[in-house]
Amino acid sequence: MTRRWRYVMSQYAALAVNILPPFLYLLVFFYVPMSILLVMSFWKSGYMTLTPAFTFENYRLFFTSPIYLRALLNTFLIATGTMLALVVLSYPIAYYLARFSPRHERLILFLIIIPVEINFLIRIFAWKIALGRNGIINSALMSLGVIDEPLSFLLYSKFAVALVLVHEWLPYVVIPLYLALKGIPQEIIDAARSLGANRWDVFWRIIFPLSAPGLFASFVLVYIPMLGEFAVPTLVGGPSGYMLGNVIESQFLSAGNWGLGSAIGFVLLTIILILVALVLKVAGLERML
Amino acid sequence: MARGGRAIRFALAFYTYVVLGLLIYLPIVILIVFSFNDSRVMSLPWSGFTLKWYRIVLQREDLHQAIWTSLWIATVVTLISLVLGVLAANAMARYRYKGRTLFTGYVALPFVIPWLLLGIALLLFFNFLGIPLSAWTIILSHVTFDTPLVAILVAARLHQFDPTLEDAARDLGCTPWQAFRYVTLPIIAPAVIAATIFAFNWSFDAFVVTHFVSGTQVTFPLWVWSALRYPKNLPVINAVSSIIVIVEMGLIVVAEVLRRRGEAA
Repeated sequence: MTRRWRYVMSQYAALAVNILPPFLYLLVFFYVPMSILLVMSFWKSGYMTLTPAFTFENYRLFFTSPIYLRALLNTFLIATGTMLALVVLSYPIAYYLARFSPRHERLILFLIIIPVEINFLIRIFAWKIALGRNGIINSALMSLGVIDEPLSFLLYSKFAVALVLVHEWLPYVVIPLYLALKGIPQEIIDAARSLGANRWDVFWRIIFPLSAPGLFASFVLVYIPMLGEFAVPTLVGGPSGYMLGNVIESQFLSAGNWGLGSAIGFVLLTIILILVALVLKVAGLERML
Repeated sequence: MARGGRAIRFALAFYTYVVLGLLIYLPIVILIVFSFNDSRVMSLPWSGFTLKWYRIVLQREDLHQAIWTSLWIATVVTLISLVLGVLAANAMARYRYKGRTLFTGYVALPFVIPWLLLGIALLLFFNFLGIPLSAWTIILSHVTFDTPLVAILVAARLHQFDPTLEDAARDLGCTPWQAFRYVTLPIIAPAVIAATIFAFNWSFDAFVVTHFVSGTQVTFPLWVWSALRYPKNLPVINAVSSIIVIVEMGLIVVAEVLRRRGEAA
């Protein structure tokens, strides 16, 4: 055997050692379960029963039920509204951190990242204490005489869901935007300024387009998980904040119709895969990874 | 900074602190303050200072058991995910072969699927195979979302790494393991440490996936979830949450101080 041949073989062996364990693990515990989800969404399903007989019944049930379709619509309204609010709220913070390099840049980054480490359910609970009818915000506003009646929209509403989601995801929007803005070379901006562009032009025609990768990254990191949210709407959403995630969860853990739950899950999965594919196409795969 | 820059800077700084204060820290501060309030109802006016909720936390065996379960599960999950994730990162960043982009997508896909869908798919899967739900099904499930996390973080670091360094070590007589241990590992160490912290945290805090695959096993997030359903538990959750918030913030500050020392050295 030649030296070169041995080298090539050893490289292939090394590659196989690196690829196979994660490949097999994800095959067994991710791709196979996802395929089972797809298959079972076509199985005949009833209360706590699932029989391997092909049917479109689960999908028909979903697409003809006003309650489920309303939950689907609600999910998109809440996720889209929250995403827009997040971008609008986060942009000035990321811009400040990246372009003004303030003395407290690290402190602010630190303040943004810390809460991510705190258990999410605990933070939802903290909002519940703050927002309730007799909660801290209402009782504080009433004792200050700002309002006479407790504000009822604060809890168990779409507003509450959006607010808690903003709290949860703000760091995941600020950080990618910050990184994208930080990566814009000062020379480009200086060149534009010296050619006569004003602040407004510089921002809209140079800085904003160049921060697009950060927007794409935060879209994948934030918008997509929000579509599958169920803990937040369960705890603070009330009936008007009911999302698709609630429907799916209840089919599995209380209503016992796993076939229907799988079908709704698969509808959600399809929507998500289309969105991810669109983002990858627009943004370019390399930039995302 | 040009004319007007100072005013913009001040406005942005003010805005940043107000948004962080109101949207991020306000509820956390309220949570901690009211864990010392002597009332089951969490509203103003203040009913007096007490430590009784903290005493109850110290007595709740079920809570201690849940925290302990989460700690050991997160430890096992982190170890397995580090091995699988670093291997995947190697394959994603250090070799040139047909299908590398495909493999990267294969590993990254679980990362973009909502945990709710992962949870129901795994529940169906375990049920289909007749595997009873237990701490082990929780571990297997957590590894599924922690492995891509580790892989993505470590691969990002490996992309900046010169692969000929390891070849040089091999030429000088290192075994593949020695080349990895003494050349590659020190270079990827910061990413591996970050991945360890994130992976541990994700597992320890994982609620959504665990919710579906836990059976009767109670982890800390599941304890919180069920406790949230009963109003008489609320001040107790408040107290245990405050303890956890303070411990976690302390750990982060210590980690940050250590990191800065490491940078300075």
